Amino acid sequence: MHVWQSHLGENVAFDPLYHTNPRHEIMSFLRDPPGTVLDIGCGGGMTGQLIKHKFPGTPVIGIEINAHAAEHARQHLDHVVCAGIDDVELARDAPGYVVSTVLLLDVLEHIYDPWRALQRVAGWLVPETRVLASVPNVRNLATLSELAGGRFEYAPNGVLDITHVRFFTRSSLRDLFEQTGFEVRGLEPLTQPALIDPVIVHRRPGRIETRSLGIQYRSFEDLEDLYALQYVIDARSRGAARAAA
Amino acid sequence: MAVAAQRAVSRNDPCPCGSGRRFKDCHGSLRGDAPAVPLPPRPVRRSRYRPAGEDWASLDEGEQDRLGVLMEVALAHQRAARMREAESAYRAVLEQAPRTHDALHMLGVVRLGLGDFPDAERLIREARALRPSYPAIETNWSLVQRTIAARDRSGVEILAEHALPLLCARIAGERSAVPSKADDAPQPLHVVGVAGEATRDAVWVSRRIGELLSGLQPTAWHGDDPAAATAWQGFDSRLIDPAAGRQPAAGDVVLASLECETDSWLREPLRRVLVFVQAMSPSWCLERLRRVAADGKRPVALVFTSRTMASRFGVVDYVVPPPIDLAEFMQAGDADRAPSSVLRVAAVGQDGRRVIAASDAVLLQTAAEQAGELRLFDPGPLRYSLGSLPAVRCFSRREIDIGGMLRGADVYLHRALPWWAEDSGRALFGAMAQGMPVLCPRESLYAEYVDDGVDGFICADGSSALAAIETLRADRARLRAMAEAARAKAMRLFEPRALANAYASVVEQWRIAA
Repeated sequence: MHVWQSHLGENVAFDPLYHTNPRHEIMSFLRDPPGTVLDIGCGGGMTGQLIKHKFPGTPVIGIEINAHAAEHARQHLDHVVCAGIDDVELARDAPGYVVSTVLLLDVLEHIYDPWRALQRVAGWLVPETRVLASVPNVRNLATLSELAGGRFEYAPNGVLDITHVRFFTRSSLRDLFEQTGFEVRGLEPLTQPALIDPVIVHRRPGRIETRSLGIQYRSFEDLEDLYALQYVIDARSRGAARAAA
Repeated sequence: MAVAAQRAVSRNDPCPCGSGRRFKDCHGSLRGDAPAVPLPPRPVRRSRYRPAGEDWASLDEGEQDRLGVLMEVALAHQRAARMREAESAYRAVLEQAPRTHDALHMLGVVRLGLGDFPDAERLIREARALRPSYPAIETNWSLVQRTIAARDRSGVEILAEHALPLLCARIAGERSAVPSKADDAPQPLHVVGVAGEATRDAVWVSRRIGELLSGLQPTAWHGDDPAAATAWQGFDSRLIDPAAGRQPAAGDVVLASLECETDSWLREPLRRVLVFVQAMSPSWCLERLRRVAADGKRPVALVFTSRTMASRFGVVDYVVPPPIDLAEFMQAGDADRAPSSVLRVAAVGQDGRRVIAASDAVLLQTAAEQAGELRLFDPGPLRYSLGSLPAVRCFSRREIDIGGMLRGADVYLHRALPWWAEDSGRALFGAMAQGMPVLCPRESLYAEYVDDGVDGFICADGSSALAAIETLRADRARLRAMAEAARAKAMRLFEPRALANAYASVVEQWRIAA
């Protein structure tokens, strides 16, 4: 069976491995108690569970479009809204919650219009609300090397997950947030040497080579970007009035 | 997935004893007339996991449940980076059902993470045979193949490590053949460094060497991409641009780092070069030294920041302490913030030079749990394995400098890395300057600067580092005494005037000797 047959369409099975993947690396961005957390695309609620483990007593509410996943999430989170972002009205669907941290973990790349979705989310938030989002980095060395070698093949998961419809690099990710009502405070590459090192066949200062590609990098930051399979963007909402502008 | 089944039996459900009555009328009765026969042990959890294959078909329902739950437990451990626990759960499944392709596959991935490549290859090959063309298995199969190929290439580093002293001996041998210039008028002095972001190790070293040598009034140059930066951070240096005729003209050349590009402008074979060596991978060192020395034709002398480092290159031209700037670390830590049961341990994930794999995550995790707080600067891939631990606090190098991160800590843990992957000691010595004992691996390039038991602990392995953490956590008076000793040593080693004199006198000795 091909990936598109098993992973696209109306009758895609609920995959516990996909929807119940807790995000340990995201927790590293929560150094202090985060206040009430809104996890958009919360899947089975595993990340909320981690938050409650690291910061006991933290209220976590979730939004999840997949009904099976939302059902799982209800066992872990304080409140779960089963709907897509476009159909949610936070004040109506989760009354009484004042959100201080929003998580958008591997969500934006699945949405056809992430710009309007972010604008919508910005409208729910008071100014200075923290937003942490993770988004795949299409400019990672493994994907670049494959593309240079003539391969751009969708897979069941990873950067070229067949359900991804948008692709971002460091600068376009920054633009995405700055154009939709947010101020970007940090943009951290999540590097994975275990997956990138094996692709490299030769290296010297300022340059790395794979089987199909040689790349000159200008700085350590640049090198880190090539090693990053995803970015975590740390942003603050500017407030509804600015978002609408 | 199994959580619903884990809940207590509802009072209206059939009683698990099989009597056919409702639970509330049987074993769950509150009236004191519950049957005396104890309730049979009920499977605590049920699992929907049912792989295809004869192994599983031949097991009864209860056993299938037990193994299914084990698989889920194993997966949960694996996701939380508890590799040993994950491994034993997968092995328990394979003992009963040796042809469970998921268990073989995932155990292979665990073994790969633990560095056992042959075992990983064997396990994933077996999984592949049982479940051909399954995308996830194929992905990990190609990963294990590539990892093995990369490991084979790392043999190059071992070879280069042995070749370094040979090359350096050759450079040293050629040096005596250079005609003396003692009669000539004093030559101009050029210091060439790396420009760029302040967080990068080579940039920091370049600026510091520029500052320490400023008494000799050299001309400072940088040769990096003009787009990357304008000059050394806070230091007036000129961009080398041979096309425009801007480059170090006649005179002696000091390279602040082996990372400096020299091919475009350093052409005269007999020009003297002094290199301040920072540890880099042996193959890089070889290539850069070979070029700087023009295959042995150009006289090159090397400066190291420890005797241990010099011994790796087989020559001891000059040794000076690392170019630590005490001013960066003058603020004392906030000693009273943490409860006394918590020891705040600081460590550095990456060092601004290379993306480092999280090889010692297990040690760091244990250290965090034992000490009560681990402050991790620039965590890099360690975010994946340590990020969700309540005792770990991660600091991005983009939000805070290393001095700021150290300020909240009690002790600094220097990670055990191959000698050539160590940074220039900025965090280690900064911690001492800030009044913190340091835990230093015995193999470290900088272990010779630490007095075991006085201003830090020299650790033979992970468990001795953990023992040292426990000692300092339990004995606050000892912690304070060692902190004071560490600060005193840093003040002595890096006293600004003495350090500048040491650096300047190395350059002057070299100019006389060459």
